[in-house]
Amino acid sequence: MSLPESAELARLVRDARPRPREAFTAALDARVAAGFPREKRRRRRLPSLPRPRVLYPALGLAATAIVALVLATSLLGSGAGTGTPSDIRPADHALVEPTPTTPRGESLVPQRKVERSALLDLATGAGNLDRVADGVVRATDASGGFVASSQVDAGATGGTAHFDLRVPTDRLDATLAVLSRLGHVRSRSQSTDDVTGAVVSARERLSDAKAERRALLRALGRARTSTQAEAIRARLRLARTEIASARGDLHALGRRTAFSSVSVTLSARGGGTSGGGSFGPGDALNDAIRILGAVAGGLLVALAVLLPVAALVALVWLGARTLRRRSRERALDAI
Amino acid sequence: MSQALAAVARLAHRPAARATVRDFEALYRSCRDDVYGYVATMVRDAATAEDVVATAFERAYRRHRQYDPRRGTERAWVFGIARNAALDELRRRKRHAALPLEPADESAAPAEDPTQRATVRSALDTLRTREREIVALKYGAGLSNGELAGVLGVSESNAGTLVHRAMTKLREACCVPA
Repeated sequence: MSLPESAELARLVRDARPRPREAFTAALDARVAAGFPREKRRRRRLPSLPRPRVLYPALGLAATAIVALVLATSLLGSGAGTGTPSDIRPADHALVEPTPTTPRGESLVPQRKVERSALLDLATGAGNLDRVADGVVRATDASGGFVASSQVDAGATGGTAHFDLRVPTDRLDATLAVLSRLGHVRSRSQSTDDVTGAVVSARERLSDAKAERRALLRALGRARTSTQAEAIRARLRLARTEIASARGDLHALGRRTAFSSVSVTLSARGGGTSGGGSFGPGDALNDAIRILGAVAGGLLVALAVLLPVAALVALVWLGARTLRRRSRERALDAI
Repeated sequence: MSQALAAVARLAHRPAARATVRDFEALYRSCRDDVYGYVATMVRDAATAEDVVATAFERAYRRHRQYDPRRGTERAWVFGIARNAALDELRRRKRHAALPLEPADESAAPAEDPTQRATVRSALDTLRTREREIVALKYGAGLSNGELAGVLGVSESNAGTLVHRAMTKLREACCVPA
């Protein structure tokens, strides 16, 4: 056969293509006309996903359940006047840089010593005074602090309470956050006082007094007469007094820096933020905003869970598809 | 109660189902023989080709609603399904035992030019499966280069190059004495 032209070759190829048997085409035509009826006994397949019409309501229900759960948890957790002491976490000690110390463990370069204090003015509904006051005490206990003094004056139309608290300084911020959730915060302020100088001064006094005592003890050993010994003993007593005084100052400063003082003033009036009074539009707006916030939070959490799962499923699906495609192409090459 | 609901649902969906069957039937009739010719060229066994073609059209029928015109013509879509079904069959065959090459059925072809047809068939058999597939899709089934590219998953210009190479090889094979 001579080299055929392209058009001629194309025609020959088309003529040479295999053609189906009539019996086969008739049977297939009938199946197509009947809409490929499913056979009763089919091969066992993996369970497929439900059809979208079934899937969408199910997904909707699941999403609603998640949102409702988050909403309920949020409302229970942040209910008016109920602080959650579990929110208090220890301060991040990793942020405190270590300082060089002497062989006896004394710091050569003193860390900054800061005394902190805070004022918190809270308002709540008339019927909530006792509950919020209990919350203040619970939050203080949970932080590892203590109530230095408290005064509660409750009346028929409201009342006031004042608390003087001592809270571990490394937990001050967390405790203030918990206390602030107990009622409506009318004012909040914090102050710091650097007492590093006083600490250093007390340490130097202590060190000097100890050195003097050691020198006096050595001198006492060398004393020849009773008069000399008596004079040295008198000076030793003074040195001991100075040592005790310096130690006392150091301890006091340590307490002031380890514990912060928090002054909480609580006012309860009729028609307050929650309970006791009438439910006005402002309260409704506040509740609505809180609920919307909780719903948004719930959706965010659901999204945070669903997105990685969806990404994983998509990755697996893409991987399986690519593998199948490559496997098919390999089958073509193998022949 | 559930039977009544099922009956109502059947009635509600009947017109849409009929329309789908009508649309699909038109598509099926336009490419049935071409799909068979292509699949038979790939698997080279009439009985297997019939199974593969039936499977491919059933798959196409079930997925007809998922067809997206933006991704190519309906014809190219059906050929893509047929190709996957044929490749699945070739994979299965590779795992088990290879079928012997079946002699061409002369009675099924038109009566004109039997010698030339036999030469072309012999030449086609010398091509690699990929080349035979391209020739079958382009000239056996009459797909355009764009449709061919969609079926093979290559660019249109690449499809044109592949067709040219395959046809050059086929033309040369036609001149080689058997």
